[in-house]
Amino acid sequence: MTETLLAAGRYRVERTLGRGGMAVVYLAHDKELHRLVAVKVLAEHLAGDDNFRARFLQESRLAGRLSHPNVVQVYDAGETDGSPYIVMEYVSGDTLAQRGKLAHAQMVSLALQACAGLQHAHDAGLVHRDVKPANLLLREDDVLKVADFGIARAAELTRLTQHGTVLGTAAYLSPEQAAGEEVTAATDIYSLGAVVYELLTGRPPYEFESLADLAAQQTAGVITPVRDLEPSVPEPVEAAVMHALARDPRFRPGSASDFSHELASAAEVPVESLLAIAITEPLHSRRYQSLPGGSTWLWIAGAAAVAIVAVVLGLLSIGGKNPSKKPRPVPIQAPVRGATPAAEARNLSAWLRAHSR
Amino acid sequence: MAVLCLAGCGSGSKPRAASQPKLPQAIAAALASRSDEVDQALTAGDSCRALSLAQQLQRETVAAINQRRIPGAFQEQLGSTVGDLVSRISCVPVTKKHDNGKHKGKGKHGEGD
Repeated sequence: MTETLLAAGRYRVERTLGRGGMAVVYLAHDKELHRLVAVKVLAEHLAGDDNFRARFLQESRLAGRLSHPNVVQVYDAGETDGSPYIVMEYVSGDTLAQRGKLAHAQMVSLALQACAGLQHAHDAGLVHRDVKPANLLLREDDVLKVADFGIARAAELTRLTQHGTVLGTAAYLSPEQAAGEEVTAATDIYSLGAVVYELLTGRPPYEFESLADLAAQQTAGVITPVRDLEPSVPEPVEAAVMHALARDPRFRPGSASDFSHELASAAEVPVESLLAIAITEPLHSRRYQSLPGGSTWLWIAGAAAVAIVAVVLGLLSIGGKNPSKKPRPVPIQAPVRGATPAAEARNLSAWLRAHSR
Repeated sequence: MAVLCLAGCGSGSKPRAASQPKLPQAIAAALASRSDEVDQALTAGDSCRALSLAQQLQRETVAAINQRRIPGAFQEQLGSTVGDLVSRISCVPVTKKHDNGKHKGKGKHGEGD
């Protein structure tokens, strides 16, 4: 039996992990560092395209700069027998594509990790462009890692995306991607929102039969609210997901980090259980920091004083009013009628947002 | 003093907040997003697209009310505002440029964004 070696014999192929339209992924043994790695080798029909080959390597090197617990680490890149390859961290486990519907608490935990990985990449100036369940790898200990940074970019720059995009992948394309417009970090937020939507409800935001059908729905259709399909999802979680799925990138959460904060505050699960898994959030952003040691007692005394005053005022308030009297509902003012239809539309959207939960 | 004020304000405003109905965020965000699109189309001088979007907004509003997704306190204000918006937009094809002094057509602009 002959062994298959890659990159001048450094990597010994153990088995094939996956085979897609663009590349074949092998599980290999790194003979130098004595560890298992995943080696992605570009498919032959693409390797013959000099432009694509150069882009593939260039984007792989950019992705190689990322170092984050929620991003699959790129170790090495090069060419073997005329085909470019990338050597990556091997993640033993599933992808989210292999999971069915998930409970909202688990989905939020996973989404927080994806957000952390994406934020790291965005901070480094890299947009993923192809966030989908198959690119979200879930290790056996429930640590999620985002894979394949840079690959979609290489494909896009060589105009391969439209030809190579299959319908299963298109479900997570943002409206601006489908329209061929500028792609920003907000694109990844939309795609992650679409993944979360699907894993909560069991179906993607839009059900479509062709890319043209998808584009039409993204332009004029309405996404069925999450809770219509899965009533167990808390309303705040639904709101966070729908926020990420806003048609216009400007109306989505401002960053992956913002999206994660919306999800975290919306999830009706103990904060400890979220943080136990979302290990990557910087400590300074966590909200349960201990008080500075020297002033602890001062803080406790202050809090006690506030509590006492609040109780006293509360009792006074109850004593002075009829407790059985219900508060009067505040009448809702209609939106201000603008001088022009455009102003009226603006007023209406501001009114809707101001009166939403 | 500040403590007293904070505690007092907090206890006084709570019951009133509880009586204030709210729109479900998902539907409010969807309708607001559509309304923003109407605004953008009008600002870009594309009144026909604006009208189409406004009519779409109206259909979505009516559907949301029929599905009981809009609390009663908002239904009349929302429905009438959207109806008013639709009635104020006239589809004037862009190719025929006849300014009445207010229309600021900028021609083809948008693709280079």
